[in-house]
Amino acid sequence: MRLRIRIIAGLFIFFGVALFARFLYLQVYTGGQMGNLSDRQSAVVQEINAERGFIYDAKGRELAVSVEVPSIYAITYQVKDAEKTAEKVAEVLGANKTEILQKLKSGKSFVWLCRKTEYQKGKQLKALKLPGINMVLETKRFYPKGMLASHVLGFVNADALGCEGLEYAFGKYLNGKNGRLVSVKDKKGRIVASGEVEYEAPQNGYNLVLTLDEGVQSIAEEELNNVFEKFHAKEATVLVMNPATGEILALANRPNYDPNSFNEYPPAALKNRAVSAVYEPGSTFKAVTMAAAFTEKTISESDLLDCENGEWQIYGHKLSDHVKYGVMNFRDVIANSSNIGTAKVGQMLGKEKLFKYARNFGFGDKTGIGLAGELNGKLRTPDKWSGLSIYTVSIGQEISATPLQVVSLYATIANKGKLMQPMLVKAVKSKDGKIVKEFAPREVRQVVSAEVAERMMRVLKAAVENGTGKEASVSGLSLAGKTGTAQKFDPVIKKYSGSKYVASFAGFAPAENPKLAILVVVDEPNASKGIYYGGSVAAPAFGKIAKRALRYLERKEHDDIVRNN
Amino acid sequence: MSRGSQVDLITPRKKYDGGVILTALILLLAFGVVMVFSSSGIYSDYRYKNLYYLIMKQAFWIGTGSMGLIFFKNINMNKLREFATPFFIASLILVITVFVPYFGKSAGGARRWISLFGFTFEPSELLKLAFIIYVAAAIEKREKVMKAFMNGIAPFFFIFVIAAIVMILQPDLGSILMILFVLCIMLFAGGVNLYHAFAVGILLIPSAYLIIMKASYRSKRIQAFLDPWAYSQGISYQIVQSFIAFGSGGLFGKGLGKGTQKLFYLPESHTDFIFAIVGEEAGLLGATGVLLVFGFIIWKGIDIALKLDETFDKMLAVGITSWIGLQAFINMSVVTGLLPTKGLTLPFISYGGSSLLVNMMAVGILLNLAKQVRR
Repeated sequence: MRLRIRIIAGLFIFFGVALFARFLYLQVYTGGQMGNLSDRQSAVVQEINAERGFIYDAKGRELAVSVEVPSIYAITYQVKDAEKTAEKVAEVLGANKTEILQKLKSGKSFVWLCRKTEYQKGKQLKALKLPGINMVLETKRFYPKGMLASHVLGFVNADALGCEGLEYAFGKYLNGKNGRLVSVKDKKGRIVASGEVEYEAPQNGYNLVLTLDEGVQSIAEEELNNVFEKFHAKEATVLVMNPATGEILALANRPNYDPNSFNEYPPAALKNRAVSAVYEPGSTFKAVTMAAAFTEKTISESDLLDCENGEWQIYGHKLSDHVKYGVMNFRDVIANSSNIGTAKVGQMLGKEKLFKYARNFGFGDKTGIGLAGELNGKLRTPDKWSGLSIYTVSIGQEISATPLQVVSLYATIANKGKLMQPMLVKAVKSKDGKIVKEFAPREVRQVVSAEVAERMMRVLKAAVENGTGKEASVSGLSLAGKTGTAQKFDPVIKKYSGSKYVASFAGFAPAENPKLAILVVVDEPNASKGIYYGGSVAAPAFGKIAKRALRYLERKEHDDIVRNN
Repeated sequence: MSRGSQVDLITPRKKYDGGVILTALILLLAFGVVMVFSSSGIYSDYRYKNLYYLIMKQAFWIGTGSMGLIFFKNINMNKLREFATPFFIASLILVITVFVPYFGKSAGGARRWISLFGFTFEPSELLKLAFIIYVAAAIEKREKVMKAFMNGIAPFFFIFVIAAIVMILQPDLGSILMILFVLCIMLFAGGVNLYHAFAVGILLIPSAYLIIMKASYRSKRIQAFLDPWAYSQGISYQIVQSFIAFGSGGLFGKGLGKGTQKLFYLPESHTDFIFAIVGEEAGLLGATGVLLVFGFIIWKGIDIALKLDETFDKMLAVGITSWIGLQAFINMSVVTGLLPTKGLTLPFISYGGSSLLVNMMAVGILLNLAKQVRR
């Protein structure tokens, strides 16, 4: 009997061990999997949107903000009369009744009826007090200045993620981190009031303070609009930069778009041509040839060059000027934009030196402004140049550049030969105003000496005073700059087009004490009127922008002084 | 046998420590109260509009059970032996009363309860205890002829069949299997001829098969048991939800009260499947703890059986121990999918009045037996 009782005890031990093994299998081996299944059927996760950082201009004016707008949802099992409810909701929202009814009868306990609608509609619906119809405030991106600086700002898509521009490039600062509210629902879909609730507070995004000045931007946009519409151009770009710091004060392109309704525009309108498109800079690039020639002491301002009476044959190729010039000094060659004279200087320099200076001015490389989609431009290394290349490159052909690279070139001349890294964002600040990250102006390199830069300024000033840039001049203001009129290379006929031009003007103001470097590029001005020269199309806009922007900045500075006292 | 108090007076010896069993029982009851409250609160609030309705009832039954425990702890064992047969017959009659109109109560397709003063009682629970006492007494009476067939093993199965018939009418297969298992263990311990036992077993198999396959819900339970994940939204919904609950507890559980499976995902989460909630909220740690406490009670019970002198006492200790132990282990096996679903509660932890009361009475007898142990 005792033995048999012991056997019974043994069987219980065996049973117990088997159970323990089963516990181990279920809770340790399949535990994670079971945990997921359990969460999947009982957890209700509600995202709490973090507030996206705002974007301010240099003076603290709002360029992009997040506003709270109502989103309407239904808890379907709380809805009393689906027919009537759908009718009333549809009436207020201006939506389709059958669609709303379908959502209410979808069988889901929670359905969105309308995301991010107008404030007024939310208020009206709330007043109706329909059972089961609720609203929650969600944030929506709003650009109070509409189309202003749209290419700089970019936009935010439906998932509240930045696309394009700074919204994309500085997304990691702007986004913040969404919070979560995890609650528990029972099998019938009811939220359990006493259930374990997991709350993760949202972390709001950081604000951006730009170098952009809304006043300068407005002036630039207005003048760009005028020239764009007057010449029925295909595209146009304007850039205004503070040469001392590399800060961009204005950046605009045409065509452009309203980031509040970006999806109503064609993709081409979204492109930020200032950094994501390249063009042949043409005569504006002659400044590089001049910088190289002065520094290498190849030629000086008063040295004479034979401009071959407007036509010069090299390598079976005809180089021509728009006006037949004879013998001129180098200053006049640049001021009058003689291709033949400049090409001869290029030949004297040699391809290695020309390449070196182009490279040092930043051509063929990204400026590092930090926007996505920035292009390098095309600057081939000298070993890939043909015999003709030295002539064409020295007058700005056979190379391509972004508008930003070209304005940097002129800003460098204005800044006594120092190339500054272009910048758009001054600082990243937390919502309570603490500085998270500050971007100081950064010198890239001294490209030419201050003395050479000064000499170049005088030549460029002559170009405005009595050269091709005459139409840029405005009374009471000394300007320095260079026109550019580049024939567009037509990929269809594989030749330079006879009717498609890029007209541009680049320079700085005031000439002796530069505050602004400005570039105006007009792509394919309608040539049927016979006006397509940079001097006629872009130069006047340059002059107007320079004058208005300087006046604005001076007054602004004056105002600031007054306010501080 | 000198079971007199004289010896006690001469050498004040240490009595067998029934206190540890009582401690283990209190541990289980206390943990059970926590788990019943955790698993029934929301259901109770929904069903009776009172969060505490079921836990208050449970508290009442623990009180009643304590009285039952104290009564049987102090009852004279000779009285119990004498009353074994009338107690058994009375229990049988009580089970039949569930079929008396206005007196019996049915739920879930089974007629197992009688209603008295607003409290329902399941007499088949009492029958289990009465059956064990009766079998223990009978083994003692037939000790000399246990090896025989007609006088040894056969009468026990005759009695079993009577009890089984009464219970199959309800139907209550779980309880029938339970008393069958306990009977087998007691007969084995009581020294029955193993060849005879084997022969009876072979006779029983076809009838067991018929009983199981007759009711479609039982054959479905077998299917659900064999491949639960294939029918996770159908017949094996409950066992799959039990896996999810038990498994999701992991090592340390979600925390007492913090489980989610009781939110109507797991049916019967405060009764037959409460152990799944134990696994969910207390993890491997809690589940193993409960297993070990039951193991401890079984060990102590077997130890008592080995140390007792009289056959009735021995058999009673074996019967009660294996009953509580088996019911606990089988319930855990059902919850963890080792055995097909059966309507069995987890002793002392599951919500349920009659089973709690009767189980506590049984522990009272075990504590009484502990007092008889000579050291």
